[in-house]
Amino acid sequence: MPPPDFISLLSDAESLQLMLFACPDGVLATDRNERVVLYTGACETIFGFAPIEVMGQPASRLFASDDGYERFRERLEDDGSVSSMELPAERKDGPPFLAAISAALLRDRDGSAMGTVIYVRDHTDVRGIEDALRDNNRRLNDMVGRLNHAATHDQLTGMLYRGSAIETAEATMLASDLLASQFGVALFDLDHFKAVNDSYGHLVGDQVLASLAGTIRQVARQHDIVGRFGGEEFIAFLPGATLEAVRGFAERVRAAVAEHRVELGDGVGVSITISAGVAAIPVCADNLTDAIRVADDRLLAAKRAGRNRVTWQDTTGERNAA
Amino acid sequence: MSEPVDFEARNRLRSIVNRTTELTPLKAVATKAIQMAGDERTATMDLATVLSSDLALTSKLLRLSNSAYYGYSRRISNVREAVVLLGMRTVRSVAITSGIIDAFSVQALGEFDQDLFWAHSVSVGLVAEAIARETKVARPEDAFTAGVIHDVGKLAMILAEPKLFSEVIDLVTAENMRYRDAEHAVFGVGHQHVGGRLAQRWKFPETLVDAIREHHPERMSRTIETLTDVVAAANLACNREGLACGFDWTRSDERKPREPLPPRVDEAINRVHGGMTMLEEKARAFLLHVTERAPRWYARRAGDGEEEDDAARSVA
Repeated sequence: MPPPDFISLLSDAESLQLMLFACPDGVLATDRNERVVLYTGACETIFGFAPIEVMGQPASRLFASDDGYERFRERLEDDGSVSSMELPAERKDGPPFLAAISAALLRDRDGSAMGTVIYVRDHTDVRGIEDALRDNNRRLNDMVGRLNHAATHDQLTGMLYRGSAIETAEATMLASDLLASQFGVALFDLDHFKAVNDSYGHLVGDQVLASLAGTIRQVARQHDIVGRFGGEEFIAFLPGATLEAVRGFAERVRAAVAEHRVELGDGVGVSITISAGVAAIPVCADNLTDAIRVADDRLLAAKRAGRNRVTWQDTTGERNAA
Repeated sequence: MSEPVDFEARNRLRSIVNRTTELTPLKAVATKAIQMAGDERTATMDLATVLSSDLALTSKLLRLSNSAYYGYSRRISNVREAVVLLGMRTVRSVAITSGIIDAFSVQALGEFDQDLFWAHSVSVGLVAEAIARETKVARPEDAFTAGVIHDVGKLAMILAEPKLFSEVIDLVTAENMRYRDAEHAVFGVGHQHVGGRLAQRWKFPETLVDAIREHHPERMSRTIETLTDVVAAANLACNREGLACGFDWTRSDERKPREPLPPRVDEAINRVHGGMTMLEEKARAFLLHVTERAPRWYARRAGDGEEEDDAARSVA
């Protein structure tokens, strides 16, 4: 037996028919008036209509929405072919289903239109799986987001943790315009926090911390980065701020904290104060690590100088004489 | 201690500096970095652009930035990021010091060991940086630069007058003369004056020129008030720890400070996590990344005893 010959196979009408009807995708051909001229067995399985109900009818009847069919025709005319386009299609004994159709314009040797060949696949299951996947994916993303938030944020105050606050600040610096890369850093510490815990208990201590966090956030601008730096220490990064600006910010926070009692209910309240140290890049330090160090030194100086104040300068003379 | 007034000495000074600048022109990048105004934020973009044009320097800078030297967890992938995260002055001081370390490469000369010379210089730079950070009398980055180049006059003397310098080495090793005296006997000028002149020629700011010229004060100040005090104290602190220059470490009496250092010096060193050991490690890492090879280093110091001299000699 001679080896099968590609050309002779194609020129044998019977072989072609066999192959066409064995195709698991529905194969549908129309004439140039878009009337159905070929409708294979697979089409019958997919749409549910018998060939006699469809032959010679407009192909558009097989599709549930005229609008979708119009779009399909437009794309076909524009590109000459369409690949895996999803369209709602009619099913004889049931609700419309989602079909994925690929198609090509058929032209004769002179290039004039002969009709269209359309390959149809039932996409109901695929779509179901895709929807389920998308849904799962969204839920996973939600969960990752929540976990991420929990990993980077302090639960009590809702603020960023130290490490994530610094990372966010670095990312902001990198994203910012170099020429405008002024950057303010403010460190806050609650005065006599231990006394609050000792006389009112740790629950009230937590309430005080949450209230302080709220005040800092209120005074901060939208794009400032605020974080809980440690036990009762908070940090704020102010992109674009000069030393004067970050000092003003810290002063406003200090004043707001000093003015308002933290209400504990039943008319009971506790008054607190905070100390702050501020620094700015480039005037006080060259980079974030150094700026935080400088702000920390100044916070310590503010504590030593009697608390409830903002320190923005170094007292070199005094320290040097030591 | 100002420059020598004696005519011959001044001529000698001038000829050494002229010959040095002839033999070791600084790279354009280093020159540009030196002359860049310190606090001008607009200069930042310039600096990044200029540095990026020097591929060798860029690769050193990025390797250093991503090493444990700076301890950044984020990957720094270009000069712009390095300038933003490490700071303009830091990047600038790396450009200047590595430019100068690159430019000076002297032939081995008797007991003089160039690796140990830079080991000492970079250690002084790091200690000076720590002191400046603690006392806030100068920018830490400027203190680092000044510390690294404080002894550069010695290299200039070797480059310009290798024969004369080997006489100095002879006097120190064979005649047991103090380095400072030997230098003066042979050259008539001290390396600090040569270094000061050179820094002036490179157009370093006045405070830095002073710090180099005055780093061997007659009496160590009891307090730290200027960049000069910072560098002088850092130099003595390193010598005390045995991290001394090329060959004059051979005489332990010379490197023991005659008077105690200001207390803030040790406060500054102790404030660094890991103290002097960490600073020494950092100095080694800096040279590793800047010279792109592992530098010869001081032998494991066995404490403060005299035996350390022999140990160091065997490595040198």
